[in-house]
Amino acid sequence: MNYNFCALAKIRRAAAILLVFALSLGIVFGTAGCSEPQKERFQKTYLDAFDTAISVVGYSDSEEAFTEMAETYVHNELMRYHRLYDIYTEYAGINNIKTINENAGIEPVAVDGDIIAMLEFARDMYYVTDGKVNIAMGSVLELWHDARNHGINYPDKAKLPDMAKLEAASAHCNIEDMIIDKEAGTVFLADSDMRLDVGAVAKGYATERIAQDLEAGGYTNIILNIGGNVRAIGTKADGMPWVVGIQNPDLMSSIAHIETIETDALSLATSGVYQRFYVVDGKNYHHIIDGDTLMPEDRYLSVSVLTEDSGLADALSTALFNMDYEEGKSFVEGLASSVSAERGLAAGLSENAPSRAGVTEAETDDEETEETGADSVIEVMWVMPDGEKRYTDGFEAYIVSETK
Amino acid sequence: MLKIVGNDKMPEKRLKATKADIVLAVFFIAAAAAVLVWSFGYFGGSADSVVITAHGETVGVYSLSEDREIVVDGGSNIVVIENGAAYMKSADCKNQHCVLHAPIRYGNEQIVCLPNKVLVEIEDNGESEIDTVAN
Repeated sequence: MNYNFCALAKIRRAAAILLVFALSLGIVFGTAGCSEPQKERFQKTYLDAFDTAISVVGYSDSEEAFTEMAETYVHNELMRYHRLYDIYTEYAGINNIKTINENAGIEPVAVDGDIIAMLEFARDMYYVTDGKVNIAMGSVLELWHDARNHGINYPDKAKLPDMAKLEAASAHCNIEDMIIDKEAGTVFLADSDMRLDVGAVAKGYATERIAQDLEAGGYTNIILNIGGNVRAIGTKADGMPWVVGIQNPDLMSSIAHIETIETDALSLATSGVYQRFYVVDGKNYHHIIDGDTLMPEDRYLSVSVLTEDSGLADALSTALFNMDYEEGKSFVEGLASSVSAERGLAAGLSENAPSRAGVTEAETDDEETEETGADSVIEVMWVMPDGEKRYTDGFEAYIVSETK
Repeated sequence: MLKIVGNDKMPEKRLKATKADIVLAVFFIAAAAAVLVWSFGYFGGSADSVVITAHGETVGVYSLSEDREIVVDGGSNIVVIENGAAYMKSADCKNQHCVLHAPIRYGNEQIVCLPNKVLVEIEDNGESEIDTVAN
């Protein structure tokens, strides 16, 4: 077969141009490929535990591997913690917090070691925060819970709980009446009118335990979001930090995130007026009840805490919500300087928990963190009622951009 | 054969296309075309999409660029896609948090109706600036 020179040259020229083009594209994408993670990104959301939305985001070799990790380590474990820490529902064959409450003043209840470990952590948080987080406030919170549910179901008849009842209930909130017998593995409420409500700590505590188990299992490149308790496990697959949006307390606003931060190994927890609330005579009443006034206070729209331990982040966000700004700021500054001690204290808890896979590793992690205790972080953002944002000195270093 | 064809020192007028030339040319064109098609797919005119699930089951995946109304779970929730954003138009739940939620348009943003176990979420398009939202 013969072709004339002209046609041949054209073909060659076209081939050459296309080759150069293809090679350039190859270089462009090849280079881009170097910074792109090898692993693929996956996300799974669950709506059936802790009465909240649970997201697992992570990088994995395959969807199967990711799903198995999310099911086994996160979802199944959360369901287990949810049943143990539930104050509203009974489950066959399990003694949970509801069982403890029902036996207040009657008898000690034998419970799982994971209940005892969480209650001890919560009691430590009570002392650390000078009582601003108090799981013994259940009888007060129950009155608010009932009033809120009634108000949501019957908006026309929504009303505040009776102050006389709240005051009567507040006489039965002494944390010292929660008697933990570690050897017997029992919990007893010595005051028959006392109730535990672990809403302010249980979710964050469970998040931290799950994260530590994942770390002990060698998992990385994961970020958990357990109903707003965000816990990073390693960086993204490409070594970049995770980007976390902080919810705008004004849900109606077209600006979804009031702040965007970067983190590679920290926990972020937010307490906000928008999370659970109901309306009485046109005014919103949120779910964070001040132990002194027995009312939801309007000090802030939200308080976000950034620190290593998710349980600490969760408890502190509630505690700080119940403190005035100046009080809270100096509290955090004092706490940050002694943070290593706090984390040692948290490690001491798991030490005494009954044998559990992962506990040893978790302690090791804590000890390692203690050694580098200078790097411990406790940073806070307060959103004032007028929307003004106030920060601890180090918080702004984590901010990516003002808004999105 | 290829060596001879590719040799610049050969007088041009004596050049003839061989089978190998054609094969090579076709190969280059095909490779370049493949890269082009692939790269356009990558840059993707493909618009962001909304994934709706109810009780863990996928209800559907919808393009954000196409305005529409989706009835979920026999009417328990109604999702509207409008002007490149999705929002919950109505829900028969008591707290109405999902209805109060602002429209979502960016990757990984979610609207959740917990009582009805309905999840509306913008699919991650690989360009999302936000990995998760602390709410």
